[in-house]
Amino acid sequence: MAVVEQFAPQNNVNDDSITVLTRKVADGDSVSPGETLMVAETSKASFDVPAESGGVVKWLVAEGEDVPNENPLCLIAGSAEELEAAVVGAGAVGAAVGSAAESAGSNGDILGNTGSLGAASPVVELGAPAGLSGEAVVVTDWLVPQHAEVELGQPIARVKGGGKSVEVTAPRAGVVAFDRPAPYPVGADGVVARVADSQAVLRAFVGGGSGAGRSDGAAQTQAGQGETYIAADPDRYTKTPRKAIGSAVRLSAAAKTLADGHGLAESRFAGMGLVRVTDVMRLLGVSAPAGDAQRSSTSGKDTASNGRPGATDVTPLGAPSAGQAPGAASGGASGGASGGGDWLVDGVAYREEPMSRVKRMEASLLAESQRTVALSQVSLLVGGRGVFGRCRDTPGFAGRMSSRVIFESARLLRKYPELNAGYRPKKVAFYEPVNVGYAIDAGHGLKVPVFPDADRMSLEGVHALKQRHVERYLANELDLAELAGGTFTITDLSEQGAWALNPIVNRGQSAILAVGGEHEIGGSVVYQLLLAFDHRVSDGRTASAFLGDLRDRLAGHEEALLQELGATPGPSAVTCSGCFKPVAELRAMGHHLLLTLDASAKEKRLCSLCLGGWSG
Amino acid sequence: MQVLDEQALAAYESAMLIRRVEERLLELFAQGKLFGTVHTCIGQELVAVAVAEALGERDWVFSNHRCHGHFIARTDQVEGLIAEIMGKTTGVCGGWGGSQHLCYERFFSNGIQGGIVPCAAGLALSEKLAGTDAIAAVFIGEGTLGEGVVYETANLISKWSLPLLIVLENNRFSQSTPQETTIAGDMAARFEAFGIEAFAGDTWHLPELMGVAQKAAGYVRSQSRPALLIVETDRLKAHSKGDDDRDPAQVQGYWDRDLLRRFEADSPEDAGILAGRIDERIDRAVEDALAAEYPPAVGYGDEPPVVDPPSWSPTVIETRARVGEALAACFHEWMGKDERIVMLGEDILSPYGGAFKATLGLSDAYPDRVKTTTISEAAIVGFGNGLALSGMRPVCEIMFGDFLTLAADQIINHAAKFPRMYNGQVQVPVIVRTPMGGGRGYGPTHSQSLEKHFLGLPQTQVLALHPRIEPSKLYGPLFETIDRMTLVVENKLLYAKRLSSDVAPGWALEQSGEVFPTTRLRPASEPDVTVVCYGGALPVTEEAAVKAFEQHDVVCEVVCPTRLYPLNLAPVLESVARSGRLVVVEEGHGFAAWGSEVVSGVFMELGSAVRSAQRVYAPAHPIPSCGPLEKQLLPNAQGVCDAVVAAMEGRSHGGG
Repeated sequence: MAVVEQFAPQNNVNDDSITVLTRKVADGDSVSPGETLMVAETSKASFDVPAESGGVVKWLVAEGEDVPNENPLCLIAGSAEELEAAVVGAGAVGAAVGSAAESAGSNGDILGNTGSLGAASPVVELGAPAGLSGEAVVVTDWLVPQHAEVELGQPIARVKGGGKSVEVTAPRAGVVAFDRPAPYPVGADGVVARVADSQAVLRAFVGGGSGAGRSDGAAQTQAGQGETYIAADPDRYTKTPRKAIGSAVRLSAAAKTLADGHGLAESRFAGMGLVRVTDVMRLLGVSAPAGDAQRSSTSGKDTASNGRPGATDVTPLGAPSAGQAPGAASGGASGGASGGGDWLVDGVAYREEPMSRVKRMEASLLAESQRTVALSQVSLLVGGRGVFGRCRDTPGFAGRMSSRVIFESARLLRKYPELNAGYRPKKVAFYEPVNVGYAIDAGHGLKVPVFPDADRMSLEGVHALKQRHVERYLANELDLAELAGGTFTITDLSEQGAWALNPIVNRGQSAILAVGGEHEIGGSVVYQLLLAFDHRVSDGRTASAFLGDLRDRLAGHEEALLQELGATPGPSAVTCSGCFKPVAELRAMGHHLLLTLDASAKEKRLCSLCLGGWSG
Repeated sequence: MQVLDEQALAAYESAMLIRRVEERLLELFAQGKLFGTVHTCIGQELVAVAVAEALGERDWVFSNHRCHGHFIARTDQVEGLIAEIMGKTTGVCGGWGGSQHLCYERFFSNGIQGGIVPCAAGLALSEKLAGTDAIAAVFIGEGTLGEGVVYETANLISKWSLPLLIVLENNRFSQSTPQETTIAGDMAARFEAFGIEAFAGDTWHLPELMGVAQKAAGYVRSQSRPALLIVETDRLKAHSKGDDDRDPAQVQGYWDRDLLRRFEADSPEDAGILAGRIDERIDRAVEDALAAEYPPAVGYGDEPPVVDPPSWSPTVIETRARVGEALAACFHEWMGKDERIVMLGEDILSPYGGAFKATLGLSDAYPDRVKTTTISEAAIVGFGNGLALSGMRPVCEIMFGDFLTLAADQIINHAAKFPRMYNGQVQVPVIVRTPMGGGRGYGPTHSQSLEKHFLGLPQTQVLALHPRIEPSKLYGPLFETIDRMTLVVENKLLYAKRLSSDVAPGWALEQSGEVFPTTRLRPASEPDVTVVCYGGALPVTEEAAVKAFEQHDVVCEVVCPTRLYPLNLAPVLESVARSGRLVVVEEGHGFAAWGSEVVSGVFMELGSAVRSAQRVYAPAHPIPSCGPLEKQLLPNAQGVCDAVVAAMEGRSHGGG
């Protein structure tokens, strides 16, 4: 029989993944059809997963792991031999079983300088399945389109050889590149397909960077997809060398991310002009496949003529940073207040848990940008009641709603520890305390004073500390201690006109909450809650659940504040302390009031006009 | 027997020469020795003879499809005519023109009805500007009264008081259609309504005809005013060949009153002597023409072979002037330097200075040479063609590029044809400049980029201005080198843009050493993609290049030729040979457009060194007035950037 992939039954269409609670059989065990393989859990219930067919089991998931519905849980084969053939035959399927790093280290299928790149190699090459017997092996079908984005374990091609037909699965998530339309033969050292991190990396690697492809043999093999055309002489047009243009260095966003991830300062790119991912990879010693020899040689010339360091003296990806021995990160269940290296917030206690395999794989893809968060965002549009604005415009109420955002967010972080966490290679560090940073920028630069143990503070305590922070901010008195140790950040635009912003997750943290200003749309007041998070640590579902909870809790506060506000004068009575214009008039002029504190911590409302003149 | 005076005898001899040449042509046609067809003027010869007699040596003649008589009467080039119609090198136009397209010294003819009238008027304007007493004469038939450009011209020649004699040969048939079927009203009154003096004659009273022709020409010359001379006449043969549906009895009546036939009947002796002399000459001419060669095979004309890459130098623009201001300044400078430059256009006088202010102040400095017109695009360019034929340097402004279609006949069938069909005897150095392009919400008829319809016309060139080159760097070389009809596309958004050579960090702005420089935005790294564009697409393309790098990690080199046709592909090839990928951006519609030419040209030359090619252009809709929709339709930086990424990935970006 063939080897079949066992998927989780679709018990609940609202869930797009299940959690593996308990595996009931071990690797290599034989099961009968219908026998319970494992116990799974969704948001609603836990349930047994029965075997769809009988045979020998090879697990693809671990206990405690979240598994997307489209990913297989295990393979079931008719015999151990078939299983082995399927697993080995799929080339890098080993990666789906072990880690990407193990796979890379063991099967040598990774392109380029794998020794220094390890798991982070941006392009993985899938060889001919070794499990098929020595006959000619043919890729019979593409199972995904050229350049499709695939998930880990997703079948990407069907390969036939020795009378067997097997699916080759993606050894990692990424972008697939086939050499040519199926069917095509794959020799012993041939390539079924490549899987790259991203389209940009694929382009840089396979598509071939700068320089025209030639109709020479190498380029032909590499491009592989079309006829060879007899070109006129392209050299005719490039024989005159071009003069260098100044000394400008400019990195594309993707190149910058990659360079930053490897700690390559901009000065390393001196004389390189416009720097792409390709150029960074070249500097990192990752060379393009042989088919793009022309580009490589051109690059080599560039390097020589510019006297830039060669690949050998570049710090390779994955090498430990100073003070961060690789062993230190593989520690036990709890970390101390130190040892987080460059990864975590200094001085904050945490406990460490191994990441799920899926998550690890996801993270490994982004490993070339180690210290750059894999930023993702979820936002929620909240139908409000205008309480932020009413608070702002009502003496004695200023900033009260914002304090409640801090208060409730902090308490919710207990429920969503992934958002109060940090990423370490293959690990997630969950911070013990909930230290909420609150971003303030009112003319003295952006500062993020911290509310230590905010989840244990009373609402009054939060509000009082916030006022103190604002006061000390305005007086330029915030000291380092007050700014250190944040494990989560809130940036609050509710008192300003901004609708939303694109917040950046702070170093060592895994999420940042942005609260947008209230806007009237179609007669209703709405504002936006936006959570940017590190996708290596958390995911969109968690983020949106967090926002949903926060929204519900804030609704209660809104109600309570509205009742209190009922007795106070309405917005029209409020004026700017500078020019005494009433708020209604200011609004008509397109300006607004801002709450400020003076030196004696008294609240003071200044309109945007006065503030502009004042600070500008 | 009739006794003829010398003048009449000479007239009959001339008419007989014309008739016997044409009769011989009909024979040669029947023998298969001619190409195409012949429109004979048999029966109408005396009109040609009378007018030719009335003209001076320095006068100009423009004739139509039925031009043999006018030509022989004016030039006496029987041998050259016969050889021409037989397609031989010894023809007056080397075999290129044939029956309807003759040129000899100050005589021209063209096979397009109506369009020759403003051309002739341009010749008259040239003489007027030069202050000579030479005049121009143009022959039309009554069927041509249906052409609107005749009235555009009639208005302007009267308004500007130009010495143009319009000779209207009324043979009462338009090809096969009797005049009364199609022509309304009074013929002379049409011209009198414009204040043009009308004279009348017929071919049945020789002395009177000779007299009125003298009188009309004399009036035009002495008054420096236009005049109309209507001559009633009979066409005795078919319009062309075998297309005569007239009643034979009626035609017989025409033969009976034909003066030349009557002369032959009344003075057989004189006629016999003349005929003998004439036939001898024609026999010899036919014999020589038969012995002459056809023109040699020709190459690819103006479309240049690909040449080695040009030299490049940094572009330095010191001024920060707006393109429109710089344009007006450039015209001021050149009108001062070159008295041959004449500006024609609508609304171009001070203080308005043209819809886009490109002629601001010119009429104050050069009142005689800045001529504002009625809404008459065909006449504007037609006058320009005439001026150019006489050696002037006319600059015609078409207020919106969309209106260029109204002048298309002048560009395509006149300016573009004269040089080659007259076998290089003339040049047509006329400049037609016009703003193309959208982005201002002017809607479907004021926003188009129609230049693609004017690309590839032999003996023309098309230039496109952009804000990375000073207008004087384009118009200067143009005024210095112009030898052909030149369309200059000035995208209308550019007039307000400031000239600048500042570019985004990481790129250098360069220009080629070509006469009309190609602009290049060269990246400080080897390019991944070459983006080719022109004119108004350049700012959008530059923006896209920065975007593609910042957001997509792709390095673009932008190559922006200023001469769209004939196109020197070398600067593009030099870039694509390095990048291997090509994106072509243009604002007009895409099918059969400039971008198609660039892509095919590059591919033909570089073959499989071109990995991928993409095009960006306006999708096949009219350009809407609605701002957001227009914005969506016209190429924008995002669209160009998408195409660049698609080229990089070797896939389609979804067209348009």
